[in-house]
Amino acid sequence: MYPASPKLGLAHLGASTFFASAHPSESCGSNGLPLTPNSIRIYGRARALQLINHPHLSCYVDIHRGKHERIRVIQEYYLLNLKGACNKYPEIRSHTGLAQIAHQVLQGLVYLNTFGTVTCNLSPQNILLDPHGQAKLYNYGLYYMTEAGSAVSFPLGIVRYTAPEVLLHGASQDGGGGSGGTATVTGNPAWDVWSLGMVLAEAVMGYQLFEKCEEVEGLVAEVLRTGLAAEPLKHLAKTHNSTQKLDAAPQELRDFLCTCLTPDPKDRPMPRSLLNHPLFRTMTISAPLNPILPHFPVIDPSLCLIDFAQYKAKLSEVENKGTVLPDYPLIPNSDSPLQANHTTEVIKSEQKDQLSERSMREVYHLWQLAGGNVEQELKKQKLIRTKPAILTLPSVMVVEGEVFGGDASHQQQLEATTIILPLHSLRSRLAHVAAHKYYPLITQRECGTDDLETSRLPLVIRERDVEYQLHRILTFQRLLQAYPYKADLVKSEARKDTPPFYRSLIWAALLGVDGAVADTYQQLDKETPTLTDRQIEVDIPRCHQYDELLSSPQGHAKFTRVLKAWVVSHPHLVYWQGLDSLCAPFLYLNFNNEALAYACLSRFIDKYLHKFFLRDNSAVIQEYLAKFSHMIAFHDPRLANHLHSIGFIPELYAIPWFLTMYTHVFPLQKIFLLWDTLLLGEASLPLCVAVALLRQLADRLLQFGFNECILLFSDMPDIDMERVVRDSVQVFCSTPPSVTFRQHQRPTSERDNNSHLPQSSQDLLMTGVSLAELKGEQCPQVSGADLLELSAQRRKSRRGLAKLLLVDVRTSEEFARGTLPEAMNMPADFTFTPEGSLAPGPNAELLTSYRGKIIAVIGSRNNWGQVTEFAEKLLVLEFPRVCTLHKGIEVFRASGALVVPS
Amino acid sequence: MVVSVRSEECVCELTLDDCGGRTVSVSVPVSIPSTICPVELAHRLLHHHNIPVYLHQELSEKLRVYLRDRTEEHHRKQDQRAVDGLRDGKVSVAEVAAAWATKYSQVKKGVDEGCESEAVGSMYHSLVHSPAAANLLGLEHSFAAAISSLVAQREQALHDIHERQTQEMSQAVSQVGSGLTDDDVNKLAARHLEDAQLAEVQWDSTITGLRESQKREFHNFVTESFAGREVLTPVTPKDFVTTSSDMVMVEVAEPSQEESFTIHLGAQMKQMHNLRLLSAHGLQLCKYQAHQASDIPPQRIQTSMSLYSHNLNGLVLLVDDRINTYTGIKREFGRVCSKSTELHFPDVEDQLESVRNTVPQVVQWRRDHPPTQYDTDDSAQPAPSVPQHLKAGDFYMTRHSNLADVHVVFHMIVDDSLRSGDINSRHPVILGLRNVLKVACLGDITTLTIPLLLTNSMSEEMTMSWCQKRAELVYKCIKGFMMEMTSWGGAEMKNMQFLVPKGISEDLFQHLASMLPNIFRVSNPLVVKSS
Repeated sequence: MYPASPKLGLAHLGASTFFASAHPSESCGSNGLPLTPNSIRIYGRARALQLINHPHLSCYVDIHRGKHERIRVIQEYYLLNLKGACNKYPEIRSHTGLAQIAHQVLQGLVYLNTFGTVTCNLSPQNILLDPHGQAKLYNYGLYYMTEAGSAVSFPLGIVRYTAPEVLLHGASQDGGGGSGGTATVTGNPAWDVWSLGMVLAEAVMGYQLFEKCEEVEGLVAEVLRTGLAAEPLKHLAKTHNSTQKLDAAPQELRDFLCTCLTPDPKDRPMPRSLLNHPLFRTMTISAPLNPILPHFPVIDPSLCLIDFAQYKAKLSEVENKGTVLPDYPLIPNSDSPLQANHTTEVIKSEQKDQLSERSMREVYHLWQLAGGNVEQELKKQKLIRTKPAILTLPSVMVVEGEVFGGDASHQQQLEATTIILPLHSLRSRLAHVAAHKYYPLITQRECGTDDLETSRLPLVIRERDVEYQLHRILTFQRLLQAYPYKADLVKSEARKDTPPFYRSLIWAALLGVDGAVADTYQQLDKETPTLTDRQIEVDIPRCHQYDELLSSPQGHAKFTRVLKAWVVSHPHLVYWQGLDSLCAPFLYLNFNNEALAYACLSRFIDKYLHKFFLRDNSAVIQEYLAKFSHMIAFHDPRLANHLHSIGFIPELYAIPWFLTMYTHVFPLQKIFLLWDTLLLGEASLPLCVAVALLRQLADRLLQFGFNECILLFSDMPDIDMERVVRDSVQVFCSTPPSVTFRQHQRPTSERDNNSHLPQSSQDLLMTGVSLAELKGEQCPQVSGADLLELSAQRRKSRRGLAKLLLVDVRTSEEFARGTLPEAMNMPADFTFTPEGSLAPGPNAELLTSYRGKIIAVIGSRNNWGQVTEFAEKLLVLEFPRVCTLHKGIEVFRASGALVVPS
Repeated sequence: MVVSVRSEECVCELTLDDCGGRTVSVSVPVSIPSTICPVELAHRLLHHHNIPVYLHQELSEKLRVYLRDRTEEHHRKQDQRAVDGLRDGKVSVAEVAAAWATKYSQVKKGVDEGCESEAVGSMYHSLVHSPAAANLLGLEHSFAAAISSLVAQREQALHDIHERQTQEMSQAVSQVGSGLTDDDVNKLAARHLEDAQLAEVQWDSTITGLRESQKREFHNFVTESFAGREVLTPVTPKDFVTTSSDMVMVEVAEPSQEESFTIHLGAQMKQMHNLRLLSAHGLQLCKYQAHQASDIPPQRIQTSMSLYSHNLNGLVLLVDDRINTYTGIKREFGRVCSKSTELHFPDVEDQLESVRNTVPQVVQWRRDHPPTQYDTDDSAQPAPSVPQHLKAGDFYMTRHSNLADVHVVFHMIVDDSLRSGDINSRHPVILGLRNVLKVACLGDITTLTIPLLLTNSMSEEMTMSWCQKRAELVYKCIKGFMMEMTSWGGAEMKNMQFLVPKGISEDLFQHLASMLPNIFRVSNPLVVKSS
């Protein structure tokens, strides 16, 4: 969330596209696996560019990967670039104007260098000017995302502005193709200094450089010759007959140009030292030059001051922004006049356009929800021209994998055109949303979306509804800014639904991530080899690899770091296979914020998988599975009986479910749906999910024998996840809490401090049951406290049938001596016929009428076998929700709940 | 473009001032250019070497500056070397310029190859998805009918000539000695041959003439109606009903055995595919099924509508290594193709011709890329000579607009090794199938038909167990390839059809069908039977 993505303002969302180069057929990496497609490499790398937030660098909004190695980039865009602006506005053409631009470009470059890369693509076309006359570098991330151009077949940059040494390197190496992973993206910042010098020299002289050379060959030669000259600037002036124009420029500007165009790379200064050039003496830096790491929650002590500094810088930026340049082309010419009018109107009445106050990423997200599709737009504006597939097929392919004929190669030059994504449909969709809705008041609980009709529709519709999502985003933005102070409110809002846009942060908030997240993560050693490295390395290339992000080399690297950090920071726990899957959703959501991914993972494991990753975790898992069997018996006796009879025990299928919290069995999109609810619930919710899953498959399972069941679960069939979520919540609500009690669950603060309670109440609580006992029984045990509470509810309800039926199975004499009020006596010895069915009688009828309610079997702890046997007989008769009283009726003695039946 | 592959190792040595007056010196090896986070490195150093925590800030700042400076220096040196090289004349300006020129020329090609076929293709595609489709398809259909009737007439006429000549010849032969000499018979034979050839040439030229005119008219029709001009259909669908209703060659589709399955592949992300096993002759998919002569067959509409789309249908045909249409299944295929005019692509013969012209390139390539010899000991053994033609596992492709259910035909070269019972997954034809799937994936072919037993017809040695073994191999390999396909970044294989020769026993068919769900793990079988 912080630093936030810049606001839309008067910017356009521009889309451009290019192809990654294809690998030569059948080439393999050094590990023998097929090479990662270049488009995936680019995709994984480009994510980090979204972190860039600087007033002189246009924001990378999003990037997509299409079929056949196509990459689509969405970036902040303005219609005017340096070239156009110089022609249009004398104040920009003027020497002071150019100096101003140079200063701003340099700031952008310095920021980029600190970020760890260079642009290598500087040209007048790539320096945009926003309506306030501020320079914004465009397309500067190409060098970074294509790993120094190694993932594309076209050369980066425009030859006429490229530094001579870059041209020399380029000529000596094969561009694009094979070299996998070795490329560095640091680059030499001095390359861009040369380019800046060339761009400025061109602007000062007023001529296009090397205009006469049309062929690449000539251009390259000219640039090299300029580089060879002792004084390139003079050389340029001479060859372009503009020595006079140059002489007219102030001394400082000329000196600056000369410095930029230093022919020797070793003497050429870096951008950061150029910022101190006398030319910029009167100018101030517009924003901090150091990238800020993303952080959450906002009150991260280490970053408060930086934020403050940034805030101050922002204020000054607002002040000196000044007015919009006159006649600035705010809208593309191609728009129809009607739309154009509409848009200008909106833009002129700037106060009213709330959308421009939203961040670009948010606007783009909404635009997509409103039906926007970049591929369609690119096609519509003829930037993607696909040849029909049938015309591109090869004519011969040999067994070695080489193709002949055909025209499948997408080897194309970089298409410099950028198209503008039309926002008017989104604007009109949101036109009626009142301005105050954009600023929801969270302290007064006015953040509801309840007045929208959409809020009552199914989740699938809500997730796709623009207006609804807008409201959700606005609400959550505010709430998350107030986190952790507003943690409760985040939770209660998340109960309605989780907007995908803020899912990563909402999850972090639900998990209670707090403290110096980034700092903690930085302190962990993620490099030093450990014993688990090998296993991690093997597991990662098999974990959710259908996803582009997680299968990219960057994804793998981040995976390794987060997993290693977890292993290092939890010395009492070990890496079990499955931890990788567990990490996947967090890494996917927080791809640009490893620290948060790590923090979420740790919190999640603490809460839901407490002790699961012990070196010897068998006791924990066995208890979990035994509880799971009990849950099946409790909720679906028919299925439980069937699975029991064929010997299909949870050990055979459910371990990966719980150990990975279903991340090993479902694709990410389904996990998101599931976890949105899972994270809201108790640590026992996963058990309910498993029951809901079995329920959905029950029809098939009931017909299947052992082998078919094994097959069914070895390859998980398609599941309706929304139904699972709904069912699991229902299962959770209809299960007394003590049924899912586990000895090894994480002690919550309440339960931890039981010792202060009087003995009478302690008796009523659930305590650990030995594993052997758990496995020996088929029905779950319920605590006395839960029974009392359920009976209390019974008294409150008016209808005759309550949720609960108490069955006392002791002999009638014992029963007469004291039992729970409203308990029914069914002595174990007389209730069942030898065949196992209920012996007829009034009590049996009453029992049958309670089928479907909770039936608690009560007996003495001294005759425990009797109790479990009774419960299991009921189970065989397919009575659902049968449970036994934990530790027998004796638990009530101290509390005085027992009465003598009348 | 600028890849600094070389990196250097160097040792970073720093001294830190402890507040107590002592100094801590740190030396750590780093590789330059480096992308290590200095903050993390500093933490690691503190942790492993027991350096006081309060030195962290200083250490990380010093590391940052050091790494930055060294990285920049590294680049500078590299750049300086390059520039010096130019100055010293190690490389000349012209060389570099030429290198860049070739670089650009490589990528530029293919940008503006908007050939005519593409233009016609896109026009056709939009027309066929518009109300004008009925006219267009009617036209195509009438063309097809005209050609096929002409072809039928030709066959008939040639057949008649042949009959007559046989009769004359037998007469002549019987009279040899009694009035005719051997010489006469020879002359007769020569004349017969001449007659037959003449007739054939005449027919062929008539047909070719019609084809050419049809192509022209079709092209004209497409461009004109795309431009929005009303075009008089040269032949309306009704016209030919009278002329050719008795002539249209109609293949009566024999009932074939068929079974379909829906499967999901993939570990977490399930991808749905349809699988179908059918017993039919390979070319049955190419021929139009029985239909009323006046109606446009439904497959025709379907095929035409998807011709320029991203859902193509492909068929794998097994052929020998001679690229022609003279023998066996190739001859039959040629006949099916010639039944109607190929209106969009070159005629099948021309396509094959261009394939034949590609073969020398292939041979040259093979020569340049000999298979890697892993056994260095066997160097004495001469490398196997490169054959002058395509070999087993290679395939060539032809494109068609006039076949019933197929747009693209993969002609897979096979040899006799396939008859043996013990081929494995490294057999060239299996590898060839993988290549077929790859091309299909990259070329948007989403329906593919493969001969399951890798044979066109059944023979003696193909026993029940042979068939089972072969089917298992192909199923398993295809499953593997399909799972691999998801990483190729192309189209999904929506329908995969396995073809077994027509006329295999019901038993065997059932057996093969029952293997399929086991191997592909059909979790939710949907069985549709038609027989």
